Amino acid sequence: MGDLRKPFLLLAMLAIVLAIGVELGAGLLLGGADAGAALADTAGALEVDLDDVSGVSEPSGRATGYLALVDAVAVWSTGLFCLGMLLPERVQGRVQGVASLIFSIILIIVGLVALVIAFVELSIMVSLFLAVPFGTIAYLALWGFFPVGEAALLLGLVLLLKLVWAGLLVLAQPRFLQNKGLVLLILTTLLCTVVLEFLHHLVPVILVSIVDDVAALVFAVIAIIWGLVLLIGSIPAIVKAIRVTAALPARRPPR
Amino acid sequence: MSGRQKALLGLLAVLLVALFVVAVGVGGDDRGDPGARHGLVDRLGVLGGERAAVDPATVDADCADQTGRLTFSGRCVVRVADPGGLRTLVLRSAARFTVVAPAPGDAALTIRDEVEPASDGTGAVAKVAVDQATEVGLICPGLGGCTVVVAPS
Repeated sequence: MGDLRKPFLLLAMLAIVLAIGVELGAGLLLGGADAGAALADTAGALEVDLDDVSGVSEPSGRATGYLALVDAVAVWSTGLFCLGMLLPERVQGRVQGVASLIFSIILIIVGLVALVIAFVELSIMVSLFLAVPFGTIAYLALWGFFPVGEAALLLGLVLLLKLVWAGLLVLAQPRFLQNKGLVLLILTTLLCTVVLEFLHHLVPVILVSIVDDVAALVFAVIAIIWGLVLLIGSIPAIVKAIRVTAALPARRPPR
Repeated sequence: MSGRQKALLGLLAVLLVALFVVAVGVGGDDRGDPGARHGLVDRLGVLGGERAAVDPATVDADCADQTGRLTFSGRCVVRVADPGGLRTLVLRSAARFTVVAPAPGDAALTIRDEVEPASDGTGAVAKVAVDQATEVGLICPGLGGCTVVVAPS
């Protein structure tokens, strides 16, 4: 099968870091454009009059940012492969278990907080939308005009970077494909990106923010599941490291 | 890695890109009708989206002749205390009336709606979303008087 091709692995790391960077920056890159005219136009369907319309802008959505929770696992896994280039195998084995345990706990906590935030926001969105016409107008003003086209561009870039990441990983070491966990992770993150794009086009524009928030909820749950998988997976490594350390002869202080 | 595995991987990548392209092409630029019923939102509403109503005791107005009962001609301003979260101010009347209210949240806009009695005899009902201390204006059309009740649900 050959040795690890380090340049490809480093490029893979760069690609997935870029992907997660784009996802985290989605809040700044998406939305913000004035949606006052669109609101006034859509409000006509509710037969209400709007006065003093200002401060109405396109929302940035939540789900693209939440994809980063899932991709944090991808960055972590790739980072561990890269760590293998720096540390000797014996040291890496010990560090990996403890580091994975800490990372998984952080991921689970962040995932839970993100889940609660998305749920509360979804609840507010739905209740506003259903409170016709005052709540509906408020919903439209805050979340009604999701920039579907811009989001598609961003998700396209993210998907491309993830495909490059996966391809470079395989080029770096074809044996990575025998790692079922890694293959499952690659499929999870790629499918999440494609499914999000589907969801954005599944409903009329005024409902995209609601569907986007539902997707964010699902991504938070997926991240928590991956966190649990990492947590459980790190336990044998920690036990092994403890046994190895305990088996080592105790050093006597020099006389 | 065998040639077959390489081909499979390539196929998978192409499939994903194709799915993405199809996703971009699905649907149109339909903005949607906010007044129409949407199955998805209705189902989410059933799961916990419906908000509690504002307590009539927290509503104050110069035209209130008793708690939660507003009798006025011309205009009346209703002051709602901070409900501590998103609530619905439910206003009921047997006759037509107009409501002028600011939108909740950060958007700076005022909404004006004329509420008509329903054909099923349940009267005119206005549901105003409130998330902070606010003032809601009521207007009684014509020269007569109006009676509006702040309903608990």
